[in-house]
Amino acid sequence: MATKKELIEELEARREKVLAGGGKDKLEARRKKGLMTARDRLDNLFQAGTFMEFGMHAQHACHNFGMEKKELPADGVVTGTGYVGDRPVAAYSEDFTVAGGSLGAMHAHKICEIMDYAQQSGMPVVCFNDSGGARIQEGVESLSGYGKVFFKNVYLSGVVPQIAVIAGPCAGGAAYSPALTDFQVMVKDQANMFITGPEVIFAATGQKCTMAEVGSAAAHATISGNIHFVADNDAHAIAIVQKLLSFIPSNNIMDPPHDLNQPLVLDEDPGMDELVPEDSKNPINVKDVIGRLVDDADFLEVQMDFAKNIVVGFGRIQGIVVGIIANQSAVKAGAIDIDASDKAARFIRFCNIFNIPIVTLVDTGGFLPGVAQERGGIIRHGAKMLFAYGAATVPKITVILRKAYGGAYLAMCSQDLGADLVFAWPTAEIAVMGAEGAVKILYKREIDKDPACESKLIADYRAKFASPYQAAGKGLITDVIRPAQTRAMVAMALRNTLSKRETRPPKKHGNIPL
Amino acid sequence: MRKLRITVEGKTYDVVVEALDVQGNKVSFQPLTPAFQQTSIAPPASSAKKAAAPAAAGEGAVTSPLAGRIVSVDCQIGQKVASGAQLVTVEAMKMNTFVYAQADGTVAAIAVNPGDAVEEGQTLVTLS
Repeated sequence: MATKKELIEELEARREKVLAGGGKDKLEARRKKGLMTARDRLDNLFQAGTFMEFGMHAQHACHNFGMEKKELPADGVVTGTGYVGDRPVAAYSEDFTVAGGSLGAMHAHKICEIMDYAQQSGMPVVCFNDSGGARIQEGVESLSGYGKVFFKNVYLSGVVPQIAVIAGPCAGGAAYSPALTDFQVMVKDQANMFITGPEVIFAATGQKCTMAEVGSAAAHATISGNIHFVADNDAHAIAIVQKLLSFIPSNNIMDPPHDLNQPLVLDEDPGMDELVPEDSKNPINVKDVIGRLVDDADFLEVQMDFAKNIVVGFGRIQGIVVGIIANQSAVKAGAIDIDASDKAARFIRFCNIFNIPIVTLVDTGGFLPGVAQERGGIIRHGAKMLFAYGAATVPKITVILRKAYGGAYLAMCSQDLGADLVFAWPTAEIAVMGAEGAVKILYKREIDKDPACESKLIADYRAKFASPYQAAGKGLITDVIRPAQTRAMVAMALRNTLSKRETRPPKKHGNIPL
Repeated sequence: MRKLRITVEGKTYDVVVEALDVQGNKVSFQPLTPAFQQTSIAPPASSAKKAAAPAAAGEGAVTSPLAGRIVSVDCQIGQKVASGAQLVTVEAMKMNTFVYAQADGTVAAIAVNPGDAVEEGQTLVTLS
């Protein structure tokens, strides 16, 4: 007995047809242009041979506009699971060669099915967006399909990590699905993302603009802050996704992939001492500090070109995965503005969801003053940082490198905002405000009488308050450490705090100021 | 292959460590995660700015990245500067911010003096 030959042949023939997508010639044309096909993307994401396809033989049910005569292989989206490293990951990849990757009812159904499976099995979801948009022939069913996908994005949010790769066009409502995921990787030059493009903007408002200005990876990475990573091409986008997955757990009840099979090394790092400039007014490139703090200087920066005055990203410190949030004093004096607040708050919340300890490096003179900031709602935006830190129950370790003034000191995970341990360098300046401003308020009468005394008063105030010892004296700091001890102390602090469990009153969710 | 530094009784040696298999052949280390470089990108050109450019900040204008006070002008008129050269120091938020040349050029004009208050986007130096 054996399976009938005809049946095997039919299966193989059907498979071949589906694998060819919109046609072998179209697939080859894409490859010649340097673009991967929908299936190439999954083949490169997953370990060879581990891709398990869901719904390869799916068919649409549209009978309008001659669609009943059209077969759309896999209905324009390839879905399934595979292994990235040693972990299963769910993915879907839109096939632009099949009806422009347009989304119809079955296309949406397949996406929702794989997302349901990922949620129930606790595995991350990676999606490759490459679609012309709604399948017009299917009318309101395609619109409904988008709604269903958005609902799933929200349903899965906070349960399993969702990573979107914008690999082609992503226009109109379609842009909201990636926007609802945790991280967006956008391939430069070949991808565009916008709600209304230049033509519609011009028709509706008369404003002239280019696609580069409103929809390019460059615009979203630097100005709108809509995306987290820029990729040079498909292969690079996949490498970024794989790297990102190497730092995050598969779901919200697992720990991130820590490597704890290594002895704790408590050696000092004299190089860290050398990074500190003698003049406290000169900036430190905080990425150099991060480079010395994390293992092998291996730091995956998130949103590297957006709100550069704050640096966020993932690394390991002696094997323990951490999310790092650091003021960048080399950009805008490290002041916290609206964009920096939004960037940091979102990152902190991601870390908290997925049990990733948070390490905060503080070097900021304060929230950025200015009319635009106040009118833009810096109160509401800055409050997001306070909220995100205050709500985070993961281990929170803070290192005050230098400046920590006023509200920004609190917003950078001070002890009062729930930091488990706070270390300060001897160069730390923890005060309610800068010496110049404080003296003007404290000694207004004296200065009015004798303006010459101001500089001495400033020097006195600075000597007394621009140090870590006032705060340490009030019990707001765990310890003052030399910069050379930072990596060792943070590593030990992380190991000690890793088993932290914090329970809070049950609630639906807090009301973060949005 | 990995370079390590070993110190024995105060003497420091740089050693290269290589992993070999049982036959003594080289084995290549498999990196835990794929090696890659992150890509940094510059903002796109703005058509709105292009139109307003001659009035606000012209060709070769080096502007202040934030509002603050000029600490020092670190270049002189006529000086040839390379891209990345420090031109002006602005103090704001208790911190110095160094303003660098974005391209090679010659300092054609200096618009500020130490002690001046400057706005974000204000021209500090013009390069030709």
